[in-house]
Amino acid sequence: MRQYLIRRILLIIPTLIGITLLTFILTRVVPGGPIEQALMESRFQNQNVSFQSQNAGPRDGLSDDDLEYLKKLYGFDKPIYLAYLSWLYKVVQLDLGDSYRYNEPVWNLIKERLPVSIYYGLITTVLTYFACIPLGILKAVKDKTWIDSSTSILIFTGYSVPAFVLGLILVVYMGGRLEWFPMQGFVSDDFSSKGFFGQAWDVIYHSILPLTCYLIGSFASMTVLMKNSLLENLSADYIRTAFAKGLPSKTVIYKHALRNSLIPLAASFGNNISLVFTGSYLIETVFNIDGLGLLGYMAVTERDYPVVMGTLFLSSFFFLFGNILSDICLAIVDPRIRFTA
Amino acid sequence: MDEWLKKLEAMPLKTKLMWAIVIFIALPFIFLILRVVSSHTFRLTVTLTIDGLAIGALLYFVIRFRNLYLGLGMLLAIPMQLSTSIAFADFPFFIDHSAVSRFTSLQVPSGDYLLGTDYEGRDILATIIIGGMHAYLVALITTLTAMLVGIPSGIFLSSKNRYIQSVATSVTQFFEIVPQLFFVLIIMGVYNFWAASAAGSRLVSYYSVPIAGIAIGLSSLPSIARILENRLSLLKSQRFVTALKSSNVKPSKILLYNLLWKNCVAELLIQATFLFGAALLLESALGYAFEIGFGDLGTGGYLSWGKILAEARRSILFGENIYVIIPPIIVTLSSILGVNILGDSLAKHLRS
Repeated sequence: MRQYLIRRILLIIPTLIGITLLTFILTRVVPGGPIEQALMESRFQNQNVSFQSQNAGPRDGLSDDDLEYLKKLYGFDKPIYLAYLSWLYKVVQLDLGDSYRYNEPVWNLIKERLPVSIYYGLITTVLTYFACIPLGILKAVKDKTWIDSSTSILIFTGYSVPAFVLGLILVVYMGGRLEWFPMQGFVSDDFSSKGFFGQAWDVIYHSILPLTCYLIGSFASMTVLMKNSLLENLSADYIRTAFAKGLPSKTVIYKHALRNSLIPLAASFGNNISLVFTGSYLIETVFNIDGLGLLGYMAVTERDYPVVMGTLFLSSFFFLFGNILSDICLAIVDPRIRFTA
Repeated sequence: MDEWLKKLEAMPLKTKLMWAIVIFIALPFIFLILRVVSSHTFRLTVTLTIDGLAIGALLYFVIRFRNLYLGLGMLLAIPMQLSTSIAFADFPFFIDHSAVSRFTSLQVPSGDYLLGTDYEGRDILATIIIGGMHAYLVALITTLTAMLVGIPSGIFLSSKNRYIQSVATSVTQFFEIVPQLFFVLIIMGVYNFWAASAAGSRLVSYYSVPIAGIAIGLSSLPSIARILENRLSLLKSQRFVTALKSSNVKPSKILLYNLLWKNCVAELLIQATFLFGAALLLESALGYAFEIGFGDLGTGGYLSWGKILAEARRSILFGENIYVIIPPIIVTLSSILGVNILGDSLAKHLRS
């Protein structure tokens, strides 16, 4: 087991290098980088100038010195492999570089937004498990009754509703029309002047609508997984034996079947870890929450490549880490699983 | 006719359901023929009649086979299917009507504008029809791309050759780890810049539908590949494969015919239908994301339901016009729900 884990943890390194290398090459080779953008901007500015006023001197794009300066600034003066190696060397020292746009270390940007993302991610994960396991059990026990089919319709509708559309409806109706909930933000403006309970309530009050959106998507698949795995176990031979020897049905379901049917849920545990760190970009924009998802996606559109690389690095790291975590969970829940190196 | 009906009755239920869904999804392409005719009224009447009759017939058969759930899915998916058919038949008319106009801004529903006009003065019905066509095209291209790359990677993933397998694993893992919307946005941004510099302008007024479809399709490769891998590795250990091998059937024939065609097509079709629904969702999310502040990436003419939603959000925040936001929400929700129900009912019948 220990050997297996060590091997898995060591395997993270080549996978991470592969992913970051690919993304790095993508950001380098494809057009549309910061330098091309600067060039294009200047070309269009010159065009506009020459259209508008005739007395501006004819200048074609950036001068060579400017170009050299820009290349040095963005680290484009080195060949790809050297640039990548120097990026990697910095990452090993926990330095993700400086953002082009904010002129701040990427690490600081991420650190500022981490609490918000972790808050939403953790609560979503916990609430999902708390809601899905009982509901899945209920659906499996009452299989093919009206309870099962009516919750099925509900779950399926939830699965099909895009989170951002739901967010839109909630913001417009409950935030705008009825004014029950705040329309945006993580905390209100006078947050620091409140007492502890006031602050806690403020955070909860602001997060009710976004959490609804976060939950609605992740909720469906988990419940169906729980239901199917419990159903599968309930039709197994050992459950029939347990019923046949006269055990009360509660003991059979909750003690025998439930334990075994939690195994697939444990396997999906790790995926939620990466959800904690990446968040959902669209929900964050709808509710104007300044989280990690928003940072990463805005960086993609603004060609802020250090931020792109930094967030991608962190989210892939946590994804891989979460995979290992689910393996450990699996081994704890299911003693039949033996990992061999 | 009777003979034909009898043949239909004799078909196994699974095949019938599969055909019903395939016909339902692929039907709009027939109406491309109507582009030859120039009369708008003729095109519209013919499309509505034929499509209505076809959907009615499908619903009749579905209900006759006592499959109400599938019928519900079809009913809910009608907005997408019908708007695609109409837009295929009569594209120029509706693209004219979904043009921005200052004079017709925010009119309530009336005889001229059946669903009213939005903030920019577009006819909402026309924008929904064109948006539905784009959603359908993106979803279709997504599904085809995902199949085209997903099936080979699924086969390679379950291959015994270690090198092929490790390459396929790393490719699949790349798409699993990189967040989907993130990847799609990178591809779209790159394409947009390319197109902009090729056209010599700073902004590209609309992003390309095929590129969006291909990007979403590539990024949803793992969902097809992993399912196929599981299924193939399960099948490969069964006895009939050993029997086939020992009777000297070519391995490629076993793989492609006996395993893939005879045993995986149903599962793949289920996945494809679900993927279609997921692509509809992602496409509207993408349109929405593009509209709410993606700077240079695309601000113009590409009409999609997500974009209409984003614009409706803006107008509803300023004015209090509920009729602007209701139609796009209803069509988006019901189409996605409908396609997902189609997949689910297919899964219920084919897996049991």
